[in-house]
Amino acid sequence: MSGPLTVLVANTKGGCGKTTIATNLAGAFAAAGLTTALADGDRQGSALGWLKRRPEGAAPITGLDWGKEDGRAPRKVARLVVDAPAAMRIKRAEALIKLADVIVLPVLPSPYDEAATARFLKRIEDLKPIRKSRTAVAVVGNRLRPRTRASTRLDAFLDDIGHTVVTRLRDSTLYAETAAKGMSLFDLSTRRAAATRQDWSPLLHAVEAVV
Amino acid sequence: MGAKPMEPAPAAAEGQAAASESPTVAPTAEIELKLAATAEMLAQVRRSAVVASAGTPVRKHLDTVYYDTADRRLARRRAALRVRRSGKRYIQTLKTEGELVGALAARGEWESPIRGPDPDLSVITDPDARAVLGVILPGDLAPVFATRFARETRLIDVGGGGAPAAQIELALDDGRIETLSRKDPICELELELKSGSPAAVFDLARRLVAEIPLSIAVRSKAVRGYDLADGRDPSAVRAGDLDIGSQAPTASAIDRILRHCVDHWTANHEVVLQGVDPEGVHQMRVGLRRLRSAVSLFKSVLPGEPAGWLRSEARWLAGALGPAREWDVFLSDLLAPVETAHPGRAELSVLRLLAEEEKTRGYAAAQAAARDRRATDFLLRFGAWLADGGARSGTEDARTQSLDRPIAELAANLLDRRHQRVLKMGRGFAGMAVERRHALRIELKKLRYAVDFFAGLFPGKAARSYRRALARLQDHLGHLNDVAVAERMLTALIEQHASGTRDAAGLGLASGLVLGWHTRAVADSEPVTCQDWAGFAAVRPFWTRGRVE
Repeated sequence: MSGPLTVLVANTKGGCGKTTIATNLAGAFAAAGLTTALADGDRQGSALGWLKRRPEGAAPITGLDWGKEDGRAPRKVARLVVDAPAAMRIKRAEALIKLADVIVLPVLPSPYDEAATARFLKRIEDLKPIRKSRTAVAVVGNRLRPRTRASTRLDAFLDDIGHTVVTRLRDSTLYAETAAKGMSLFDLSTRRAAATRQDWSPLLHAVEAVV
Repeated sequence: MGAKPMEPAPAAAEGQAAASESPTVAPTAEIELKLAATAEMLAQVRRSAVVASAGTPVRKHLDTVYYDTADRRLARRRAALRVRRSGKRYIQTLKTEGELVGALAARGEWESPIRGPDPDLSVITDPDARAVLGVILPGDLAPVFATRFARETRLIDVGGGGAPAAQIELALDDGRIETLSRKDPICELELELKSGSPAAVFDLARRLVAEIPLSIAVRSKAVRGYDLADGRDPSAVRAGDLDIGSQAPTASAIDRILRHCVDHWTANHEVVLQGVDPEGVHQMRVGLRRLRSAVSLFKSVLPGEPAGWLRSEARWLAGALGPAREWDVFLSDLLAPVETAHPGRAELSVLRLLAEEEKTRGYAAAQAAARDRRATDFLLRFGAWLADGGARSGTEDARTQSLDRPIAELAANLLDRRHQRVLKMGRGFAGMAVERRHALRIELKKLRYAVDFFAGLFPGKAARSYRRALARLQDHLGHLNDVAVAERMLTALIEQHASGTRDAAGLGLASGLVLGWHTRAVADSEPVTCQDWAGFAAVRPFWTRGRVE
């Protein structure tokens, strides 16, 4: 393969945790010693803002401003995470999906999110890279506890549309605390962070499995 | 993967995609080749004059554990992570082989001492290496297999007396590969060029093979270890695509094509030795046939010296695989449908029994030939020839000029010639006698191989529809040939058992039943075959468009 392994974090619905997932994924790659770039596709630039707050000693991540248009990753980048804008035109979605090796789709356990997710999946499933299984789709349940009623319903809903949840990210104040400092769970060495990081293993395995 | 990649020799084509393209040979490329032995053969190697005179060997015991993720991420990324114990010390090595993730195309090796037997990735800081490893979480890595063997190395100086001087390291490895539940012996020798001419490695290997019946070894220890751990048999390999690039000089294009054919052959070597998957014998034979066809295709630019032995040795080895393949085809394509249509006929059971016997004999012969030192020497001779300059070696001025021109020019001419020849031989196709059909079939096959060799030069629809029309026609004529071959085989089988105690009359009856069945089928499909011929004759050659002035 040529170019970096590219992860697109996308969903049409805002507020489902795209930037949290994108920044933590980038943090995980950087902590593993990989040359990492984080592209912010949103004009609001919250991912870039996070990078600005990132402390000096933290594992380096290169920020890319894709707010107006998509660019390219610098040479030698091994992992590229793209935080997609919430409302994307189909053309832009197509271009980004073409670029991606994996699409990470965060969903919240709410009926509104489910409907938006179903629409988004339906739209992208007809796109060639996904239809031909060149691009994997990983659905991530955000702020979700296993074996709760909301979780079971989400499972049933995803099963209906032919997907499964790759992992469930528990609701934790650690996300807000780290985000405020430009950090990720992977920048912390506390036991609490290590426990919360467990939620990420299946997703990281799934991402690394594509190449 | 694992052992050092060997260039340009095909003898140890590392990894299983041996029939895919090989990178071009850099002048500094490491030359290393591997040969399979038995314990007795290793003893003979030690006693042979050239080795014995090299003095006392250095002996080491190598204990190495290979690690990977449960989903074999490192193997998939063509990397190997191992920890080798050396006395009380532990050395960790990460090896990668080209084509990596993260915009990198590095072949690398990162080695560092670590404290214990478990891998310690914190010592690997190079971003190139990290890019291959990706995110490895605690507990992701587990041992896959271990290699434990005694290695004896000697430095051998060759040359002098007119031959180019070179220093070669000879390693004799004796031990085993282990997983939790399985074991597989390691008994092989490796030759590595330390300095001097690459051809010297092959020459030394050929000297050893002349004394000791060493055979071809294809899979590296690492590939064998993974296969053992994952319970995988070596699998048959098809020719794969070849893209030589239209601007490639004719000489290097010829080297690439010949090497592609040789790789196709050797990639199936171990499948043939395994003797389970019939596809192995078939693919190995196809590789050798393509090799012969390539040699004859390039006869105007290839000197007679390699052309002669390439052709004769390939013919010998392909010939030795013939009976195995022919009985395979007979049993599955010819006998089986007749059995289905006549369930419970005793005569057919007798025929099956005898045919299975012949097939078993055929496989034994095929394996003996693959293991024969004549095959080993053939491969080494080819390696030496390539290392010595290949198609460009020993050229006179007149030929040199055409060898420097881009291959696309020659390709269009050669395709044209073979195409015209097929059209000429196919005149009056409908009423054509069987013998002429066979001659046409062979010519079509040559055309097909030439089209395959040059396919990468002519992308596009025209080439695809041409190949489709060609393949369709070949299918029909191929079946016609299978029936003719079956007649020859059955005649011989009947003769062989004419005075035997077995049911000779029943055998005759069963043979007649099978031949009659398929002769009728061939006759029935004649209109379609004629249509396919017309279809092919009408298809436009694709190379006129892509032709370079």
